[in-house]
Amino acid sequence: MIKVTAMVVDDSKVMRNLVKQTLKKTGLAEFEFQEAEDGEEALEKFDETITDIVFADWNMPRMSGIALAKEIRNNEKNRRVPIIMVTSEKAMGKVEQALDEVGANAYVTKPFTPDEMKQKIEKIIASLGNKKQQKSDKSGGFFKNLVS
Amino acid sequence: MSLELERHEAAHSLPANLLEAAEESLQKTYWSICGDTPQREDGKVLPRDQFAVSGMISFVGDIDWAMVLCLPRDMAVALSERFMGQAIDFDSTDMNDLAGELANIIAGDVKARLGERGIDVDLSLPTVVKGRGVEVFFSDEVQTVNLLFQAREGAFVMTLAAPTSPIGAGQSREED
Repeated sequence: MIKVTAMVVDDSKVMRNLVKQTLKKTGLAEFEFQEAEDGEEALEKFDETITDIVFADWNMPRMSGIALAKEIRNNEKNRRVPIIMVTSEKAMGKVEQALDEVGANAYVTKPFTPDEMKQKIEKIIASLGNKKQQKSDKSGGFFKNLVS
Repeated sequence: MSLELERHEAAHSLPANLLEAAEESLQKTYWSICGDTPQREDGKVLPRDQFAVSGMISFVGDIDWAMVLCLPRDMAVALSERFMGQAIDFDSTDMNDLAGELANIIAGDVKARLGERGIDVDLSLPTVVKGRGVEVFFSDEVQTVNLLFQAREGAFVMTLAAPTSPIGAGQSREED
């Protein structure tokens, strides 16, 4: 099974664990996890390791999920890493706006099932595959392998 | 009047759309985490003198109301294993976070469902209380209903509280 390094960013340990459990249940890959409590910590860890995909909570102290997504997209090294925003229904309108503004790839709303999470990831894979057909793709790691 | 009958009538005096939305959200949330749909068991009550953790959320808007999710200790520990991948200590702060997050997820989903029914509400942050025999009291002007649910992990209660004359969908607050 393919190994995927997922960074889970949420100020709640409980929610980070829920995202991790859900990802494991998708059966898509053998997930390895990096965790961060906010956007700033996530960016620090980004420099230390290779991350295949990011799951970021919308509401976090210090640096929000949207601010983190902007920073990732502005960083040449990591700008193509897929980002999935994790949010509640109450913030959904803002998240849709953020998807357009900063280029987050998708979002999941709480509560989410393994099937819903799987569909989001498969959609990203399909999207990256389409982009690769259109032009030379420079994304790295797991997703590059999948669409090669 | 029997306790069961009182509870039945109280349930039917709360706005039906509120009850439906809350029950649907609770069941969907529980299913997403545990793969199991808890069933309502009307007429049953939890023993009062036991340790439990409760997550509370208030809603303001077209309907002002509150929701309390009460998880007895053993049930909460069993649920934590599903939620976190490992059982967590009932006395830990992680357990407080779990109760608060669970209430928050359900509340967010309730808000969306009420929105689909034309009812706009905003949420408070979750508040968590933990202890033995803890009860949440509301004012006399508020009616409450306790909905007991049975899941594989155990029984738990969702309490809904709303004013005796709630504002319904389509009515603005200025019309009072």
